[in-house]
Amino acid sequence: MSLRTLSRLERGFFLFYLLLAFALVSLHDFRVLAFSALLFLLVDPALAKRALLAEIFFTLGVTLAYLLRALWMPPVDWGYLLTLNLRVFVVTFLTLYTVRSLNLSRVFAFSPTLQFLYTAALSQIESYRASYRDFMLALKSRTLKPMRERKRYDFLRAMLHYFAVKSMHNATERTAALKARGFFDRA
Amino acid sequence: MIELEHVAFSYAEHPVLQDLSFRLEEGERAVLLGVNGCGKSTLLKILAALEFPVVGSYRYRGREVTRKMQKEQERALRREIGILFQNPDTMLFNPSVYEEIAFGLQEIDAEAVDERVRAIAELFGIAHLLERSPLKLSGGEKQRVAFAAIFAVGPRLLLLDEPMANMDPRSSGWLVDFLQEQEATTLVTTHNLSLAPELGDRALVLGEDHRLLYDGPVAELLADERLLLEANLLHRHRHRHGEVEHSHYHLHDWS
Repeated sequence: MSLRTLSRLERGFFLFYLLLAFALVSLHDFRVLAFSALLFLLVDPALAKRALLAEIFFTLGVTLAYLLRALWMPPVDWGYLLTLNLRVFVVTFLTLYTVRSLNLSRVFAFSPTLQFLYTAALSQIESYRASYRDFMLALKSRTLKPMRERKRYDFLRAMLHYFAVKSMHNATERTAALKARGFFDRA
Repeated sequence: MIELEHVAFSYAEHPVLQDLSFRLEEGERAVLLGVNGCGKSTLLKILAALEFPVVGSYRYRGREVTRKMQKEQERALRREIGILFQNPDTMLFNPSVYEEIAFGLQEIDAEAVDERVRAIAELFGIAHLLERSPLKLSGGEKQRVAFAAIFAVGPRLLLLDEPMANMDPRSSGWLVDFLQEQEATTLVTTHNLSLAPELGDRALVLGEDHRLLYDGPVAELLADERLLLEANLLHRHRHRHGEVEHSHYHLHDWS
């Protein structure tokens, strides 16, 4: 298969993903969403687990906030809550599946700007992931005894500081690079 | 002290190390060479028991090092093995340089900790930085503080990943002298061939295929142009002398 055909196919798949995600977000029937979730679970249980882990804190937060609100403004609409949770899960699964299956750089090839932004975001994520991993391993290598609570906060603070400074630096550098390449001169 | 047999490691499906076997004796000073991405840092992490081989075995002082080790055994290992990461930022998290060095000395009583921290700070030339936040130091100073922090615990094995990367020439010179005075077993990674003979007598070279390409005396490695080219440790570039132009191979650091 030629690269051009592959690129077209991938773009078609991506468009299908966007339409399907839009349809799932617009659905208000939890039975359809539950069926989709079950289907996804059967298609790829490992990816379904990853999707669940990726969104669990978000849905837990939203659910708890909703339940707290219901204390003052009852009743609780369980159908709504279930729909919301299922919707987040199926869209997350679908997104992870798409990202894993497609070469997004090829998908965005029709727009150099989009392709550049995608590559920049990806390299940022990869570099952060590598730094995060090194932070955890470095801490592990220096921890000879269980850590005290205060030290845990110190570690977290230093890591956040590092990522904040790095983000600022990277953003400044990237803006300068984009400026140099005439990115902001476009009408 | 260290014994690796047919060790392989991979991230996802990408091979990082392949079929690696070598021994390192107590007190030996070795240098680990190879181009970026050949697996040097990962090898150090395996030796520090932070990562574990996917295939093969690693023994440290006769004991098998595996993911299934007991917590106590793992901590005992950490006390003996000090690893300096390539990016010192990832190692520093305490509010002051003093606390950074004191971290890891928890088993000593408070008075002895103070004495030890000050002695180490003096040794590393960072006594004037003790009250400062490690996050606000220069790259070279951070490197010294991170090294001082791991050195304070008194490791038997020192694993240093590109320790000169953030240092100015004066600090690099200091580090070379410092390492030559140590009794601990050391394995230092670098792609700076001109410094290799100062950092160890033995060289281990990782090839671009992630396999051990050479294990032997540094002096012999430096004389073997074919091997250096194979490991991508030599570079060639043009020189101009007025009208005359010529090119030849170089050993000096290209980074």
